Amino acid sequence: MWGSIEQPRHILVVEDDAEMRHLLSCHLRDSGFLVTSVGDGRQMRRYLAAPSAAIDLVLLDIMLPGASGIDLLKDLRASSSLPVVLLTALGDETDRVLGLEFGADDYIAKPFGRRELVARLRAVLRRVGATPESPSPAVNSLALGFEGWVLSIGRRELVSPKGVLIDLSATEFDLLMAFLANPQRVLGRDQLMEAAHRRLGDAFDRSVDVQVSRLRRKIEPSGAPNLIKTVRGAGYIFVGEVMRL
Amino acid sequence: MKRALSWIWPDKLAGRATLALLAGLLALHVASVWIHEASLRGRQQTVREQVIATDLRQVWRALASIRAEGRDAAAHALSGPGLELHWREGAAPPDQAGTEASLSGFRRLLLRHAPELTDVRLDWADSTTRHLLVGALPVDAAGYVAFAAPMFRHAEATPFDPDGFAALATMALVIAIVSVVVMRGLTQPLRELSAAADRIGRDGAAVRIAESGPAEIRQAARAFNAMQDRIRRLLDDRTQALAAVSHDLRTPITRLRLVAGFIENGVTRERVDANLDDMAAMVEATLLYMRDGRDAEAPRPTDLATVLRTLCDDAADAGEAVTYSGPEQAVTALRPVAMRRALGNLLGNALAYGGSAEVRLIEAGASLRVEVSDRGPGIPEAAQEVVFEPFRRLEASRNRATGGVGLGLTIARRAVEAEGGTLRLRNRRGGGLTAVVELPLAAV
Repeated sequence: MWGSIEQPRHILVVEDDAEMRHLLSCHLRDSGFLVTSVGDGRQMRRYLAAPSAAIDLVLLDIMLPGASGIDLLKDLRASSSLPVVLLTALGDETDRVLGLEFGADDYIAKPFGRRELVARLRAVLRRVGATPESPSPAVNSLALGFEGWVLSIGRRELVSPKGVLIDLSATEFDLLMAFLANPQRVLGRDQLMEAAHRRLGDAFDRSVDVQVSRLRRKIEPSGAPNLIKTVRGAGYIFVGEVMRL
Repeated sequence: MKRALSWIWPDKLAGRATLALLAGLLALHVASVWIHEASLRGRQQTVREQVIATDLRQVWRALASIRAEGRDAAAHALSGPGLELHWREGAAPPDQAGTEASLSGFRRLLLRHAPELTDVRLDWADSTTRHLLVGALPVDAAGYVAFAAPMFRHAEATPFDPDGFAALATMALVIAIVSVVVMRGLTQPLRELSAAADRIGRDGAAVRIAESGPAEIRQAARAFNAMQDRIRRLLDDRTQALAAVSHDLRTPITRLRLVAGFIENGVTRERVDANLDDMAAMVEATLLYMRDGRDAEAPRPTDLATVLRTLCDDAADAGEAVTYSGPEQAVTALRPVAMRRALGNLLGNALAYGGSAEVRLIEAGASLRVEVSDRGPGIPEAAQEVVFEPFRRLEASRNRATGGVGLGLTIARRAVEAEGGTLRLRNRRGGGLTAVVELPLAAV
């Protein structure tokens, strides 16, 4: 439903395993993407250096011969903000955190599912496409602070003013990120849905209201000031002071 | 009998060594007293025999030099307490047979001192105790002198006379104290060795023991350390092999998932996908299990209530029947990633086997209790510990619907025990199973 309406997006797959590369390319093509695939970092640099390269997103394997995916990501981020999604090995937390801290837009752990892969890529493209001019403050900083709270983006962790780790679901994290990226601005239910929806390939089971109320219960324990306020008929607004850390 | 013996025979090495030393000391003391005594007695005997021989020679000479009528009186006059003499007329009685052997020594000595007394007759007055030597010494044709000489036995110093006993007791006490101290020092490395052996495998850390002390202990310590290195290498090799296989399986699983996307038949594709999901879950569980203890996650203050709420909300969003009840906040120090995984495994089990789950968080004094309950078939009491063994699954659960590789509970218990807590299972009244996690409320 996406590919048919929009211009096909061009994805550069950097993967050393030839069969995997082939299968990824086929699958992504079937899903409506334009795909170019290369086997290592050298080829990737050469391809990106060519003036004709109109790449929308790089799908980058971390485990590559020669320069690792992390190294390539660092190089890439030095000169461009081209969206990068990392392919990591499952459970390698360090890779994941490093990747996100060095500016990857998302990561996908092997073994991943087909639908998950496509959903993640589309979400990243949508997110980047939505704010082409000014990336949200969240994108390029490691952590955000508000009213004593610290949200570290790479680790996807929220720590309370008392230093206690508060566990968030993926949706709650995404909602909070959306709020922190747009403080003092009313966010409509559609915008929040969009922000939180990216991680779920399929139906969004509970309404945004339920998700927001869950988030509020975690960051506004009884007696604490309200950080998120309901704007009748419009949506929600985050009233806290946000700063990059 | 054996009981009595075990009461005397100490259980500890130091005790046994002390007892052996004391027994040796006692034997040595008794033996040395006996040897001393015997040699003393031998010398006294020799002196006494020499005196008797000299006396007899003088008596013989004296009596031979006077006339026969005066000899009886002279013999009486020469008698003393050590040698009693009587003059007898006529020929001396012959030697008794059978006494010769025990008196041959004395006879030889007598003849050496008085070679002229070749005709002396010797006998024991009492052939059994041999306390009184009697004999006859022919002086000339007129008669002979009969004599009797008591062979005194001096009072023997026994090992148990008061002085000897006191000395022995003092020495024994000193030796006992010294040997207990020394033996405790010597056996200290052994106690360390057994303590170290007991520690092996309880945590991931290697247990080294110092290679010091006597040669044998050093050798044992060396062997112990080497054995541990070998075991560790062996385990590492196995772990690495299993981890490598699991790790490498992820690439083919990913490839297959992509390949499955090209299967035209929707039913077939879904079944292939479902099987691949199972495989991926098994690989994930195995890798988690293998990596356990290598994750350097540190305990940190964590709101357990939010962890449980996230798990329950996510399950509810996925369409599962989950209820949660508990306090607003419950902060304790724990390893959040491992604990989330552990509680997630318990919730997953409840949903897989029971179809629904009730999660409760209870503040119970100095601990936090998490109960994850289902209304499934439960687990027979006898099997409630068995299911915690790695790769162990109950026969009844071996069906595709519940899947899994048998590591969920193992991983969960490890994570809970790493926080100093406990994880137990118990059947519910009215059917179903409850997993009970007790976590200490660590100061934050």
